Amino acid sequence: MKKRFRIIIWLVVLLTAATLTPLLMSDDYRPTLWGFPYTLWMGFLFSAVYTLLIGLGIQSIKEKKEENL
Amino acid sequence: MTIWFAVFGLIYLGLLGFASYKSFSKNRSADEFMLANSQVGAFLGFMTFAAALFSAFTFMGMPDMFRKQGVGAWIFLALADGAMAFFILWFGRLIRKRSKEVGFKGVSGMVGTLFGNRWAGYLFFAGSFIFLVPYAAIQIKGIAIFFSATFPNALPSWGWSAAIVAVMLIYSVLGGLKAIIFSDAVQAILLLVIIWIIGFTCIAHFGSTTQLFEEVERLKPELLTTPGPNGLFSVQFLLASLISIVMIPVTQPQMTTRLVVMKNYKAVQTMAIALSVFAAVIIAPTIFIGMYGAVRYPELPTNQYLAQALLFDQHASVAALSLVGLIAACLSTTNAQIFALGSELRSLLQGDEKSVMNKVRISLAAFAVFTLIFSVVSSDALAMLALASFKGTSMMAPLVLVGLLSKRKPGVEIIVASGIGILLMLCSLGGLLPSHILGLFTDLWIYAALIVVSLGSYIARR
Repeated sequence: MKKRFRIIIWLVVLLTAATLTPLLMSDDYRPTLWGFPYTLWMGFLFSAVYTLLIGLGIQSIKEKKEENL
Repeated sequence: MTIWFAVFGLIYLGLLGFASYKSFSKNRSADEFMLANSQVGAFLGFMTFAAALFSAFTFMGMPDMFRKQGVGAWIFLALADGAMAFFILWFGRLIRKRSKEVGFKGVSGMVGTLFGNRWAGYLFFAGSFIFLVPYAAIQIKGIAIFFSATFPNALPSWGWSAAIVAVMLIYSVLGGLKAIIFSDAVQAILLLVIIWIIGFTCIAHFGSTTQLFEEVERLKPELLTTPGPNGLFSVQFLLASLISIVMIPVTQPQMTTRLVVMKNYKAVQTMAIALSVFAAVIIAPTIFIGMYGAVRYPELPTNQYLAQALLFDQHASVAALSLVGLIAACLSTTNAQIFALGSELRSLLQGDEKSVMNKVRISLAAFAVFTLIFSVVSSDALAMLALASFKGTSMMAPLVLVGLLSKRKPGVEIIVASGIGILLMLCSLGGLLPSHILGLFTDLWIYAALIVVSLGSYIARR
């Protein structure tokens, strides 16, 4: 497995762990843009970062031609 | 609304019939029927994966979850789906590589081969049957109850269930996996369009999202943060459900099969990124439908709230589309599950192809009848039973993962531990075991024990 992909895996693990911290698991309501509560905005942001990391993960995977998976 | 429903319903049935007709061929091989010749491209692969994943649970369960438990439902499903989409990048490559080495007819057969022990395959099949049939059944039940409430003079609840199962069985048995994939594409698009139309209508009722959330804040501010008014979205709950959801591609054979039947790994990669976007896009409108319900119908039982939000508060044409969308969401997931059970059985059977396929066709009918019976007798707690199904199947993840990762045959201890894990999970769901042990969810203890045993065995045998 390429080193870059390993780093991205660790970033995803960190991001996943962060979803269970007060970053998202906040117990107070702070209204932000368009009235969306803080938890939802952060949730949207985290979803976007997952997608970004998937894109970076794909970039980092170079399939060997003979494998033809 | 009835006329609109008849028009849209006939168009939808026509599309299903067309998909079966285009896929039907008398001289199909078993691989063509069960695995679509493993030539599914990125777009259809993404659509069929999304349609199989986002079920009636998304359409009915998620708005209700947002209404009752608050915005933490986003973390519960949308973020877990994002993590799962990333996991597909790694797992899709692994399973495609191993399936090239040992062959693939179904996960049960493959696991049996990898372990060199047919009991590993039987256990996977038994686990899939035990946890997939109830999940398929509760979706059919949810839709049937909804329809019998909407059209009280048409059919009883069990009659709607039987009609849904009959349609599903006819087009699956005629068209095979190819027909299911084509119809999934139609169903995924339909579901996305309808859910957004209803989401916009719910926002429009308040004028803007700001006013919608202000109204929720005025009535029940606990809905706008975690852990929600009932304290459901605790760290433990989210962790347990995250593990279950991320493991879906490993443990739910209808998903695993979809990763294997794609024509190349590049298509799997494209599907993974499309899926992560789709998850966010399809779950987002359920927030608005849920918050709308929290303001307008906070006290109504689930079915009455859904009938109001999805049907009676909508224009007749939108309400009719909702009904068709509900059927589509239910059919796409349940047929994927029942067809996957057929594939799993095929992978365990031996003999000439014709006799095996005849047995598989009969078994598809039998699984459908089981599902129908269970749908008549089961409870209607859609969201929680769906989660129980995810949790139950996730007990088989170590069995599959160790089998795929090991270069040598894994030990029998993993099969035994997984069997015990499934039994304990069933006891926990049935109330024979406490839901918490020493302050932690029982399923987290079972996961931990399974991980320790599997990892220990894997390292010891390397």
